[in-house]
Amino acid sequence: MRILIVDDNKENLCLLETLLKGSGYEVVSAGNGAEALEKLRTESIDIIISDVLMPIMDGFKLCKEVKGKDELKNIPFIFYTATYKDKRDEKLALKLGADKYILKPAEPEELIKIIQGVVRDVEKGKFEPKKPALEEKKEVLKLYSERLVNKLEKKMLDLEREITERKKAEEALKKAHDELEVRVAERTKELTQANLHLEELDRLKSKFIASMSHELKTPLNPIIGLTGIILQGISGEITEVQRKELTMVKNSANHLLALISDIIDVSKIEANQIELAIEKLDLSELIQEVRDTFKIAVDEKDLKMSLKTPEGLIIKSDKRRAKQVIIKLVSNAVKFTDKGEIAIKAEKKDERVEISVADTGIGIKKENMKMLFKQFSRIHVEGRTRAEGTGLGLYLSKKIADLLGGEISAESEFGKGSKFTFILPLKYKEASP
Amino acid sequence: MKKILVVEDNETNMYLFSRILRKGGYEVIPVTSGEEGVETAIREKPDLILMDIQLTDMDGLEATKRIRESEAEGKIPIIALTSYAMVGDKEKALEVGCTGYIEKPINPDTFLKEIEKYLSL
Repeated sequence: MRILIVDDNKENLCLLETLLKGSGYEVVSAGNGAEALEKLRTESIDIIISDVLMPIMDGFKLCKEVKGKDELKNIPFIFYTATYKDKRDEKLALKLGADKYILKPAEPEELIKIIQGVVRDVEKGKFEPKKPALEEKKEVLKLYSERLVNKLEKKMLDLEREITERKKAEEALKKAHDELEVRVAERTKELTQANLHLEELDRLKSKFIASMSHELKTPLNPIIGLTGIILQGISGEITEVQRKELTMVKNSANHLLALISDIIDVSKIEANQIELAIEKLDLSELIQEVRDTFKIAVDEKDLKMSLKTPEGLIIKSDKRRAKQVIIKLVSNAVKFTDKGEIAIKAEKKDERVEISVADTGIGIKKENMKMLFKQFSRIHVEGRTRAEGTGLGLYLSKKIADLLGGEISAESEFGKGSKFTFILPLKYKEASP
Repeated sequence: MKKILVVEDNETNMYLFSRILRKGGYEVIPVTSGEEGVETAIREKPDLILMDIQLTDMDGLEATKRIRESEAEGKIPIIALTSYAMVGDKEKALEVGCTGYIEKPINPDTFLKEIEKYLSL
């Protein structure tokens, strides 16, 4: 007994095949009407069990083809379907010559039982193959097309319903999207305002620091000035002790002034408010000026100071700012060197100029090197009193070097000395970060 | 004796400048407002003017501008007293006609030398 089962659903096919094989039947399977016809052409089949709705060629067409062929028309043809439940579908199937029309029960086991029953009936010869009602061809076709139209209408209704649902979903989605856009716009506005507010606060902060610092500087003018004139003897003779003590006052006042100036510079740089005055300048001359500033301090400590620069080293940069960095480097060298030499050197290298300040001072421990250019990082040196400084000097120098499109670096050997190198472009470029 | 007009509204600063300048052998004309500064400059024709930039009534820049407008010939050196607190103070001072500037707080050791330098220009 060879059974041909036709179904486009692979799971159904597999299930039927397993169960029928389990009952001892041979099974041939096909995925649609066309495949089924191909199998019928090559294999000998005793019974056809087919689904109705299938792609390429449906069950109705297959049935019509089978019953229209002399060599096949005697094979019992059994339909089973889950969707074509209308009585008129069954009527059409029977008109086409189908032998049985089974409505698929919900449980697959039920279907198998029914099919097994039919197959047994066929085996026992109880089954009278029906003759197709070919004489009623016109009526069959009419019925067929009627059923198809019916199905199509149903499908269309389904589609329409689906489209309506989709439209609803789309509208809901669009609404949600629009709402989201509104919210995004609102948030953006809020953030923009918050940002503007912050910018304003930042501006006020730098303005506050700048004017506050100015106010702090004002009383320093008479303090430094009057201390100076007393020390000069303008207000009469002073004793050595008075001179010594007044000098301390003067130094402290100058220290305070340096602190305030550094704070002003740092706040300006951090608020992006520094204005550079770029001009052509003679770097050799500038370095000589710096050297002259430190002449007294160097002599007092009995140090040597050497200077090596080419004649007329013209660069384009900010004179005041470049000088500020070089002064810082030389003043550090003088401060931390007790004996030996401070060597200042300037050299042109390609499009850059390298200014180095090397000393034979106390040097910097390796672990302290990375703290050098950080703000308020003051390195404690054993056996020395706290050096007078602002804790901002090298931090500021690095910021200025960056601003001028240059860089600053340090190398040192603890106990032997340090060398700081300040590199500047020959020509300051606006774009340099 | 050369006459120096000092326009400065801070009493202590005025005392300091007068003290140094008189010791240096100059005659000092002290005034405490911009308005007065302009009037005195036109009337007295001093040899040099020390002008504080941040005055309360009319600022030093405005006063300088007016003095320059009133002058027919022979510009009086006007030295701005500035602190570097505000961006562009120095440039603004030169723009309105100041001859130069001295940074506050002043360096008492070099102050007189700077004044001499401007007088000899």
